[in-house]
Amino acid sequence: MPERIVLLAFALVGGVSVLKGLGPDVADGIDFYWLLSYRHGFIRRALIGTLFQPLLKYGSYQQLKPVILDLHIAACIAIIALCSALFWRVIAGEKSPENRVTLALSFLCLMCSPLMPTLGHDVGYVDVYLITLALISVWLAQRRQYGLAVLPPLVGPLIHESFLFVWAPVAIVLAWSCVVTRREALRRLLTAAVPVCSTAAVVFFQSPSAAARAIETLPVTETLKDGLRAYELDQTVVSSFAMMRRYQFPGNGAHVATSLTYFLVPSALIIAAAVFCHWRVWRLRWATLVVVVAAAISPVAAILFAWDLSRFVVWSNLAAAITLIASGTLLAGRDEVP
Amino acid sequence: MTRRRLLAVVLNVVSVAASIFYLLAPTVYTFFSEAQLSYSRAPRWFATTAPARVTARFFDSYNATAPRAERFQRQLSCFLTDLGATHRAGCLHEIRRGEAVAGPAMLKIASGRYVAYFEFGDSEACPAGGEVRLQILTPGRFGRILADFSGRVLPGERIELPFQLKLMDAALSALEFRATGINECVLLRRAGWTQPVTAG
Repeated sequence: MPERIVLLAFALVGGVSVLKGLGPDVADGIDFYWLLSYRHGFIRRALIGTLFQPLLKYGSYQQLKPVILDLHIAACIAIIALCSALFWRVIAGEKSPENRVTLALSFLCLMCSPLMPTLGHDVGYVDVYLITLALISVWLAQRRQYGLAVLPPLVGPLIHESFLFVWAPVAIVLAWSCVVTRREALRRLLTAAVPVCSTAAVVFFQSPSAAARAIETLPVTETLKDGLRAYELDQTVVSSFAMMRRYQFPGNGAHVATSLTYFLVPSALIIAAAVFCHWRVWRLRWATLVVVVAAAISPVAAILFAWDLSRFVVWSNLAAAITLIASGTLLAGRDEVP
Repeated sequence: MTRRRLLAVVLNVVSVAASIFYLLAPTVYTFFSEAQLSYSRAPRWFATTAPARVTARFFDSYNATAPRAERFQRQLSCFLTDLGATHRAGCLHEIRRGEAVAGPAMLKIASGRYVAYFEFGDSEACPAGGEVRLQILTPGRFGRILADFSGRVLPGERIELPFQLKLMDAALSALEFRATGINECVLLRRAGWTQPVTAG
């Protein structure tokens, strides 16, 4: 009972942390996430817009912007609630008082980390929905409900392919848990791989003509449409990486180092907590440590393809928390703990 | 105390310290070439704490070579928005009584002592100069006026305004140049700022 109260208090701190960054309105230039839909055919990044379309019967997009802000706040609350539930499950399975305190304080570290204000900051972006889906899937996987756990990662890439970077730590720990526990390998590997297949389907089945028509009918400026054509139609992994290598990385090495140093401290502390709490129950300890670290920093790979540096680096805070949770359950063969 | 318990104490103390630090620190949003720090809906006193200052110091030099700031510095008058003033070809601005120009949008530079300048010219509509108020300010929640001048300016005149952009001002606010007409008419030809005289 005291732990529940402490976690609730830390969750409230997470709420303050989100408020610290919460933007006043939908960020400039990202209206298309809410306006693009499947009306003209299957196109990527249009699921949110398709779900939002029915609301446009009740008001114009401008009138409905406060609804997007409300949805954003609701998603942030959902993320905090899911993190609380996941941490509670791990704490409940621990007998050692030191471990229980360390896990609870790791949750506090996550709630205060730069992840939370950054999530609040990006109103209108779809990151909060991607993270919510990933956390729901982790929650289901922890309960060994793999049949349901595959659904969120199936949907995530339909919202945005960057779901792969949110999902990377989950995929890594699921795959490694097969190696160390040799249990439910097929289910876990399938769950881990689902978003890769889903992303491939999104890329393969997108209709360029439908995307062109959808962009043409958007009520935004021509400048924005031009940018969107490049973003929706021409953007590939290779072109994104080439752009980053040519324009963003040269001369900015010190900036990248500064950002990584600042944003990854909470991740390092959460990983240290994972080692402290679960080292003794890990099988293949040193290899598991390498896997845990790799999983925690895996979302940082997104900066090879996108220039919103901190927006993607802070995902590592969440990734570290996911690996901490998984390291005490999936990687320790204790996912059956109630 | 066992070794394990000692380890737990050390780890937990560091975790709590880091949590307090990051909770009080501003929201940091970085791109590859520019960093923006802000407090949106947190108490104002958050900005007076040590974590706020440490974070501001840590990211202060981040914006020293920001390409956007360099572009603004080359042709600032082209990025000023007319608030009732009349835009003329060549990024000139005719400013009459009650009219103003202000901008640019989201100019982030490192802290330090700078000198801002405004250069005036003449046109058929504004042949003899006029009275104008020139300000360098940091608008927004943590806004301050850093330099202020009011007086008559003549065509061909250059007004220089030294100002100090302090660490927290540089971190939490953007820099804005503003010219407001008080009397008659002036033609703003150029505006800009020098490289920092000293670090903030």
